[in-house]
Amino acid sequence: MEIGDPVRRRIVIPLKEPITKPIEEPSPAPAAPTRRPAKEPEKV
Amino acid sequence: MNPEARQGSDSSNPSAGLASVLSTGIEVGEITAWRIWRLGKDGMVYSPIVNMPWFRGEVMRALPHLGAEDGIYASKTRPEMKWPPSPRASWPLVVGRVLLWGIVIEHENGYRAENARIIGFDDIVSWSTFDADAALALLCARYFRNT
Repeated sequence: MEIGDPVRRRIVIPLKEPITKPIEEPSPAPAAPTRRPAKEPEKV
Repeated sequence: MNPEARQGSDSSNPSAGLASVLSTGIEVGEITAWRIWRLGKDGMVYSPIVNMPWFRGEVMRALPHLGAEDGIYASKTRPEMKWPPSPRASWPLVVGRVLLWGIVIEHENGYRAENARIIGFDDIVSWSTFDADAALALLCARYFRNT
């Protein structure tokens, strides 16, 4: 796509937030599994 | 440190000169511009150069930099279809409109934007026998029909 030479830099702030999340936004890392306390061996 | 904050003091940076020449304006709203996509066999539209799919309702992002060729490209006027776009091209092309916002490098005939979202498809041009009107209706339904 031929768009010519740059003429100006603009910072455009939308009036409202986009409806959906940006696609490249990383999904939150899964929470680390909580470690259950080791079960005490049953006394026999 | 913000990379753009370094531009003014980095003489080895090719965009440093541009940054000092081009003014930066801040505005509220969005820019409406035109684009061309390739229509894939799966009924999705793809960026014709990098083959990136554009999904329904989702925002495409690519931060543009001065002195570079990055960002999401769009033109100020409806693109004239130079057909065929290349001797080997056989896929249908879609003409439509996008909203742009964020950091936008304005060029003489178009833009390189940080964010873009499809707002409408206006035409499909095909090299082969192809019902473009029906395909356009299906494409619009797929991307814009409320479900």
